[in-house]
Amino acid sequence: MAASTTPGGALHVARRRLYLPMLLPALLAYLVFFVVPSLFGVVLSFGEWSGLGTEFSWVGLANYTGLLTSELFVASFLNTLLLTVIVGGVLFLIAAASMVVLRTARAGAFIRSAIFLPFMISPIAVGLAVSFLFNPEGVINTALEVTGLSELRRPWLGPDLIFQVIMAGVVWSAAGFYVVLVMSAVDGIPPSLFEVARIEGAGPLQQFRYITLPLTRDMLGIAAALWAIAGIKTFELIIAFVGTAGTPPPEARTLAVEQYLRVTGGRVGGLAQLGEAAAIGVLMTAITAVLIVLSRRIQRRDRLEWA
Amino acid sequence: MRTWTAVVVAGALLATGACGTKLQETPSSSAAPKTLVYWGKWAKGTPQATLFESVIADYTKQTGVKVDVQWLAQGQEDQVKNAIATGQGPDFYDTAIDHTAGFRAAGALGDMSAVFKTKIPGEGKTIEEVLPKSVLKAISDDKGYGFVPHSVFSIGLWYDSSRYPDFAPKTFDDFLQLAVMEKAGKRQPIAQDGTINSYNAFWLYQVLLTTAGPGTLRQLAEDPAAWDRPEVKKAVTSIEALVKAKLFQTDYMATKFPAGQNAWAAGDHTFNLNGSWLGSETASLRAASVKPRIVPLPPVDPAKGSVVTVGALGWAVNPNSKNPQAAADFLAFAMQKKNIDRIATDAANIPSRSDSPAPVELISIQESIRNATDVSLDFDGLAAVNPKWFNDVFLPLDDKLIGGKIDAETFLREGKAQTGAMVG
Repeated sequence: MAASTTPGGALHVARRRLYLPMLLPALLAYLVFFVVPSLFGVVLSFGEWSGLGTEFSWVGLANYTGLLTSELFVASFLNTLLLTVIVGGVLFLIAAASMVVLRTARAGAFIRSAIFLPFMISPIAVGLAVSFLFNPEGVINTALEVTGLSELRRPWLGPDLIFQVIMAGVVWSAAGFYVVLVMSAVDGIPPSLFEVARIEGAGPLQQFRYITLPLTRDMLGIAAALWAIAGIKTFELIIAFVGTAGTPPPEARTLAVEQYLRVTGGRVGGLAQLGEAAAIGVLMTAITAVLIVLSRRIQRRDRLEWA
Repeated sequence: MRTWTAVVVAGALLATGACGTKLQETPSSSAAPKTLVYWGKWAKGTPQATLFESVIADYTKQTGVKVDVQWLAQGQEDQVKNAIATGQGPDFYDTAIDHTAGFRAAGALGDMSAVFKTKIPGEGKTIEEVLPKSVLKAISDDKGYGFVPHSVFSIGLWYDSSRYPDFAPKTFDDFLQLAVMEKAGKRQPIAQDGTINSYNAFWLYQVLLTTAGPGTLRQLAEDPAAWDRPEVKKAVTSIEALVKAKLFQTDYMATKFPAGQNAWAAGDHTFNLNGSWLGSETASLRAASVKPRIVPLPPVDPAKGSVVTVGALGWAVNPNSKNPQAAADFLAFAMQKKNIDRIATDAANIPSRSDSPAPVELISIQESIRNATDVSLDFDGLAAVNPKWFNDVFLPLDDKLIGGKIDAETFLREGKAQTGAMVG
């Protein structure tokens, strides 16, 4: 039997013959539904086109240079990075706090479920709910007035504060997912390690620093990569703030919102600018790839094993 | 991978010949089709959808020709364009002035002149003859009529006639004085949904129409020198005066739409500059004491001719339809007075025909549309043909002006510089 599976053996040859037919359907599907449309998108980013039935024309790098020299686009780019970094940082802090507290908390499972709940709700619904809360006559300002804190009342959805409110909404919506993710790694750490550390006098923060953090670094890396992808794509929640009656103000625009404005031509059915939209898509993919590589590099180290 | 979503869709459409948008084959028979296909934008159950279904039922009863209607709601325009571009699509479809340029560019709109020459059954007049000249002008571009309009709308100043039964300020300054007096009575006079940038821009655009006339916004988008015109400066300083008088409700730039217009409907504020659709949109929230009426925004300079913004909704015929005559016959049937009157009674909008009365709150603006010496499209139609300048230059700057972040001088200087940078 062993001989037949060695290279050149009859079974090995038969298996090799099966590889291609088995792999072909998946390869074809990947090619037709991902590779070809993606390449089409890259090609489109060097042209000007408004959709089926309209003329396509080559513009070379004009879409890219136009975007990169547009103050508004650069502001949206910075908004996106800011949102990804700041919200990412807050999510990390929440996840870290959860790893310290929830591991030993009595109602840990319940708290995890409660925190996870907002992640299950549609971002559109979250955006709508948050924006109604922060309306000038909404719950937040009303509560501030009732509790005698009316000097803290603010126009939360105005241009000066809307981006901060959006970031708060994103944190509320996404935190549960990342808490559940990292806690699944914490649950895999043998309790004996914490027990020994406790006996030797290590406090909760030391246990976190010397046990939890090193043994969950892989999962933290995955979480960072997932957040980089999600953060760069932030879109629905912002649109929910504005609805379909207007376009988001520059202060609240992200790359995905800029892309949406170009795909739809704006609020009142303007001509789509699919070339620029595709160029934004290419840039977003490139930024996401860079962020993922960076997060993986930061996390790079030898695998720890305790089994 | 939202990034790639549009790309995947576009690529898939190309790869598959847009079979995803092929909802129904158009009948291929020529002379007397048994079925016409109509793709509508309304959601099923809305007043317009119900009204048109009833017109369709009457038509089928009288002619034996069925009209297969599909209510596609949001995104209907893209489906129509994609389908027609791949040789499919309906015989006729819903459209609006804002979409004419897009349908033309996609080859989904052809010569509609024959349709407008079709006689309306039982009336002895053609479709063209029952429509006001101002509406015919508004629905036309350089290639002719864009569609057969059933409803028209405009932008104007909504007010509560229970507070001002004889409201008729002659100038914009008169209106400001009235609003300032109302503010002195401890009541913020104007409701504004400041998070909707196009609603903010209604102010400047409507004032600009009265100082510089239609087409000025297009000039501002194309020629930096247009920003130096004295009429433009006059309009911008008028808006600056409005903002400085602090006549909008508290924190108006931070409202969650439609909080501002709902507050107006509830009677908390007297004025709201909005579309003629506002009355029907807020009807269910209206306080019993409020009697809404709409008039054109009073002009800065009353000596100038009357210009009214005209928008319209209607039906266009697929240039590749196998049944163009049958489609024209149906549209002529639908344009009968008894049907178009119901745009007012059933849908609370302004009917397109000259002889169909508008709902009582819209009568004044309907008169203005009929008697206008000139018409303008909403924002000179710029939002449709130059969305980049409109979304990236005009609306953000206008938000700053309306929000009181910049003064008139800065607005003009920034507008000129940003337009110069964009047009090169």
